[in-house]
Amino acid sequence: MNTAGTDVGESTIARLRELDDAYAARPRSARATDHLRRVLERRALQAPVRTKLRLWPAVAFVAGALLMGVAVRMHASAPEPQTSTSIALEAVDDESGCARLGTGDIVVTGSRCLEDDGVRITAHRPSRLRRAAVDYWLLEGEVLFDVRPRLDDRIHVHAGEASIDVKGTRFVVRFDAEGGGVTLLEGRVAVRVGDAPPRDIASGEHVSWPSLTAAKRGSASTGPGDAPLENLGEPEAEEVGSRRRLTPTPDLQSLLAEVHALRERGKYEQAIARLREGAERLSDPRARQVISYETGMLLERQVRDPERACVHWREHEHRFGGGLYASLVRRSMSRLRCHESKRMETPSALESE
Amino acid sequence: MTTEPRASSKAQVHRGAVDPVEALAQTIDRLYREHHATVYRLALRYGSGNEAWAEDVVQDVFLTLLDALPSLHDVDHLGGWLYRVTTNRCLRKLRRDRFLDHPVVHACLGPFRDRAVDPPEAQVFARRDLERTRSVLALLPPKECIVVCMHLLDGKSQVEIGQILGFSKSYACKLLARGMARLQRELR
Repeated sequence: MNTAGTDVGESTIARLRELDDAYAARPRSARATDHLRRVLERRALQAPVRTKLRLWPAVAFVAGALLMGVAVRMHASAPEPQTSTSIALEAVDDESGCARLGTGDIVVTGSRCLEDDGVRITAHRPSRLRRAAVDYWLLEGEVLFDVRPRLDDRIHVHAGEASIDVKGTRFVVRFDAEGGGVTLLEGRVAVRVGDAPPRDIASGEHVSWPSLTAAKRGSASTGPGDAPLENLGEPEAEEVGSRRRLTPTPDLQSLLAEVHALRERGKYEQAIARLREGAERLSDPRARQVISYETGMLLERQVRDPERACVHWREHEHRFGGGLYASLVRRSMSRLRCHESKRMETPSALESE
Repeated sequence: MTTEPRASSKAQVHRGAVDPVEALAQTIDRLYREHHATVYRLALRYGSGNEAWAEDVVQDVFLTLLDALPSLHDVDHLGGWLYRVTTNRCLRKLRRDRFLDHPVVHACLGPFRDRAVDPPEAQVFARRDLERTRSVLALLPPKECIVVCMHLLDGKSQVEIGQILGFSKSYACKLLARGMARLQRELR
């Protein structure tokens, strides 16, 4: 036989076959055979048990996978901070936790604040914003911005035709189909409407502007290009079932302009006196509410008399309850710690004059 | 373990008329009776006539068969499967024995391992020529011994040897050539 290039003699193969035949002729011992049969029988009877036992790793794996799936699903279904924020002015506290403020389109609907990069946003009503780095566009709604002092990278807030440059302050911006407005609570911001040059406004001041659509309807004589900044204490009068807005009457408008002039000259007490006179003269409850709010802001921001401000705000709450400025008033009272005051007397600040 | 006739047990298994465990026991019993002689002969050949060694292999092979039985499609034609499993089991056992017999390993494990002594039946062949053939075959390296026996005694081709042992054809050819040369040299 020639295998793999090696000649193997027939005698070698014959001797191997002979050896193999000798092995084959050897009988197996009966004892070994019986032993092996017993082993096989025992193993055959145990086979189902072993099969069941082998199922346990699979069962454990499936259970683990299910748990992981449930955990992932719960995590995925957790509310996203950008879209489920909510606001309550009472919760605007440095110690309170805010959800992370993301970029892109943001819907603020709830009672928690959003914060990122030193900017905290609190919605006074359901609002839509868009954010890109330091630029914020208020598309609709009313939002309180609380911006920590910044050395660089000013914040720019855009609301319709107006843009607001912010370096560190607190202010409320409102914008909807009728127009927009900004109320500065602290610090100083520069507001520019349309092509008009930017104008700094002081704390307590309110600036509003009409929207392009409102201007085109002819409801206002001023367009975005030449719109003068109105120092109106203009509230948004939203009633249940309607969107009736307060249009400042000529009396209220002239009164507010007069008060603004006095405030510009630093004659705050005179401004307060004029407001209280106007409150007695005007019969429109909404106008009285505006005047009351302006009075409180003067006491709080310009006069800086917490006691008088607290008294006034309590009176305001008592008279107007959940009115137009309810949230702002509650925030002011919280900041002034009016609730901790032991003084319970609530003299009628407006009617006593 | 039952000793019922083959046809009866087979029919019961196929009909599923008996308990599955009992059916499995009957099937393995039948397969054992059919194939144990072939398996034992192969084991004796590669174990150089050591009956205890061969019994170990037979037990391993049939326990493997028991575990693999549910996954085997054609239970009635298990000759090839048993040949492959037995050969590989013998090769693994031979290599393990060879490793344990290495002087270094033996020196390390000496105090803990009793050296296997060839039993009398492995040492005594009435005919001196058979004894010489056995001892020469036992001296071959495990792979060469098995490849040579598969080729010369079982008529397996190099391709088949490669497939059964998991070697490439060229490696099987090399082992075969080397083993035959060594066998010729020793038996001359």
